[in-house]
Amino acid sequence: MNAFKHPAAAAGDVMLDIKGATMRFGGLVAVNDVSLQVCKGQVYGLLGPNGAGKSTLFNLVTGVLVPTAGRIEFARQDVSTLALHRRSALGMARTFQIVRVFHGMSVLDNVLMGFHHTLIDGLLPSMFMAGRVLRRERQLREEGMALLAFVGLAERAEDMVEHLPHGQLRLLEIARALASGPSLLLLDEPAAGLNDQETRNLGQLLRKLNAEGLSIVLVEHNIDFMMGLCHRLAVLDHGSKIAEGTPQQIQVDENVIEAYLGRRASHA
Amino acid sequence: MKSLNTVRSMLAGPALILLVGALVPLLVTSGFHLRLVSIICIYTILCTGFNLLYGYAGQISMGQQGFFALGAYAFTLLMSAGDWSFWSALPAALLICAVVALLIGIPLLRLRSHYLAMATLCFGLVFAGIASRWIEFTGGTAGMMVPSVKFSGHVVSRTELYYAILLIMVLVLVMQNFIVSTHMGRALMSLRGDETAAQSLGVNVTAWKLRIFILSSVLAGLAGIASAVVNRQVNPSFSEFPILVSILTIAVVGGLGTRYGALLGACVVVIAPQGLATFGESETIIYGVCLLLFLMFMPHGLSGLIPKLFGRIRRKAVLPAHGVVKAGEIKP
Amino acid sequence: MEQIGVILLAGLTNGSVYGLVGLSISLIYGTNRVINFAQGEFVMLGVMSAILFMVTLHLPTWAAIGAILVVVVLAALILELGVYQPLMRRGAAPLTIMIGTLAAAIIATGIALLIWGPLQLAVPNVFSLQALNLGPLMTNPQQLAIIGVFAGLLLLTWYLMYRTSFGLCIRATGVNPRIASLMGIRADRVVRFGFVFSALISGVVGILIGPLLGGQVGMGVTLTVKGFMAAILGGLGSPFAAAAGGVMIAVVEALVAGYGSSLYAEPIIFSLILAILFFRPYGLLGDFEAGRR
Repeated sequence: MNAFKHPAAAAGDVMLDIKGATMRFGGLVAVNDVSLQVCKGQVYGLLGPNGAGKSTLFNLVTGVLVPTAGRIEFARQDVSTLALHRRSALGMARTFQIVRVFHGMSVLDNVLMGFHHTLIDGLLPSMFMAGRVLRRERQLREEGMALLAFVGLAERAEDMVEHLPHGQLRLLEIARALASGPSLLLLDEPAAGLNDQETRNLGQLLRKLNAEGLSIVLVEHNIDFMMGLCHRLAVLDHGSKIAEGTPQQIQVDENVIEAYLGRRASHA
Repeated sequence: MKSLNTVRSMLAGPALILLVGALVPLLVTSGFHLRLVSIICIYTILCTGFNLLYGYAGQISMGQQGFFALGAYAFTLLMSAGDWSFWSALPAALLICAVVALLIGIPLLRLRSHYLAMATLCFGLVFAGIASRWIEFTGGTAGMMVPSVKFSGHVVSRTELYYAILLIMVLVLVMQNFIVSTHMGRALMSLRGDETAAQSLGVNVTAWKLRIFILSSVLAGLAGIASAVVNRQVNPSFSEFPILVSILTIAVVGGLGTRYGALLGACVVVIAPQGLATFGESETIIYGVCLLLFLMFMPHGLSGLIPKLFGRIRRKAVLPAHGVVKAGEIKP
Repeated sequence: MEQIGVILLAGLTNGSVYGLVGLSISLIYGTNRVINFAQGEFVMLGVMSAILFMVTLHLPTWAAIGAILVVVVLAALILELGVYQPLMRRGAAPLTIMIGTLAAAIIATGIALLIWGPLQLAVPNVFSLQALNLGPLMTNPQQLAIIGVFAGLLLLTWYLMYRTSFGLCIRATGVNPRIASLMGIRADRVVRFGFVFSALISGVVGILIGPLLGGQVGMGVTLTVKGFMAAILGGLGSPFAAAAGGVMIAVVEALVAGYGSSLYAEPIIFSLILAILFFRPYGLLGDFEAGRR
């Protein structure tokens, strides 16, 4: 787990470069000129009180929203206005704040959806290359089962997703995101609704993934979880970045304390 | 091996249907009954398209009958007025359906749910309206005669026609099974489930909606052409309400989102009225009551009934005692 | 000048019918997100019952009207209790329940077929059909009654929705059924009101339009489709937008028939609606549906 103990060693290529991202909804400025960089191999955390703009920033990065101003570069490519469905092919995968799984399909089928961008796109082309499609299907099922085993859901593979409890749905979403073969994994409050044991398991899982080279950007409320996992953190408040640094630096940052606990606490 | 399983599951059903279907002309004596079975095949083709579009992809189209009629009329016009040969008219008519589906699909598929239902319904009504009024071109409410299909002078017999339609239906089912058991089927179901999640996984939602709309419209057109050839005529009723009601009934009775629901539903919808005819004037009431009963007591249609009959357990019966992931299960 | 007056009058008359059917469909939709495909059948029942009570049974006019309204209310309750409730209890999706109302429409048509037969019948009129000259326009009291009742029912609906506390419940349910029920609004009462009130309106429409259209058991479908169109055109959010949509459809229909081709009036109207939906996916005024998403 060298990457975790030595933040400096994690510095390398810049994976995600957010330059002055701004999001305006009419008169409301949800994200105000936020800039930050995530390096390859890092676990980068976004903290902030409710309404700070974390999810909006997330949606900007993942393409659900188009920034009103600013640029977002992924692997040195400008993706600010890139269509949502082209992102997984670039290597970006995400999970959602409220779990979005596909109902009416089994757990395994949900994970297999993650492979979609690697497969032949289109009805006619697929029909002309039927043999290849069918052979690939078999491989996919094996790869999907391996991912489910990795997150611990192998025995639920054929169950319908409606039968899964919340904690397992979160793991399913992660397995599905991993299926798309990302170089950057973006997790929107992955620990929400998990109990302590599940949260610990999640942390272990993410550490393991990071050790294998996956860069992770994480939005979470659980501060202990973040401090123990992230190499670097940025703190947002009312749409602006108020602090950035290592967990140790953030913990003592006055602006952060003030944002979370109020002005009086910072003078305490 | 799972892939062999997939191939087997794709082909086994259709092969069985082909076999049984091939025996039908031997068991059935009257031309009328053979025609009924042909109509079952035709409705199966039509409703397979509808099933892919609505049952799997969740896009409610109440205008499939418009393409049913479009295919029939285009084919008939090309063959009789245009004097095209069968082998040119058939693909050309299907191409026309595809192009029209593309043209109206692009703006239309931004619509959701009831609005999509209405827009597609309008399409069907517009076609029916034009077909019944443009007497010089379409023959008006009387429609047009369809010339009998000839191959090098030999007129295709009713039995040969039936075999052709049976074969086409089986091929359509194989195609459907192929789509449904691969990533295409999953992509379609993701459209029904959650479009944003689908897009974030690389599914080009707009493109897929359009593709499946075009495919189901072409299938509807194909069914229409077959219907025109079997009935030796085409008229505006091809695009009118009763066909839509039949499509919806077949979907309900057979079961949406299933592989053989279209066939099962078509069998019931085509054969049952023959039995109902004895009730004479109460036929309409009984049709409505049966439809309602199916909706209430068999929401997954007959296809939902069959797994129960054969006792197949599709889901694990018992949930694990705890939902927590054991640390030891995380493998490198 | 005269011609446009005639056209507008025809448009307004038909518009009253489409508008009220559209308002009914929109109202029911607001209570439970279901499109009632049997709405036109309520009008048909109104029309055919008029024949039954006034001609066959020779009841005095006011008694007949009362009986007709009882029939449509009963039909609404049967629809709600026999179709809507059972399907709701089984967790059916709104589109499935819509197919259920379609089944109900088929059953209603079938029953009507047994009672009245398949042929078109003459319907007795409540108001006089004597020609009446309104300035340069020729009309008759029945036609004026239709327009008058349309306006009156709109006013009544407005009063109910905006001036009573129950109306507030209805509107709240229309915006968000789940939150409304969490706030203590009895969804079942709202739904029942939707069905019964819509049936009453449609029954009244039937009584008035019967003499002008004639009575035939299959007449419901066209009315349902036109009413559905009116509701969609206005946007499914507001019954009043649906009423306006109905008038718009009828007026354009009359204009096309009067100045263009009366033969192609219907297909042209349907094409226009299709075109409008291309540009406004949620209807002309349906912004709050869009906002919900």
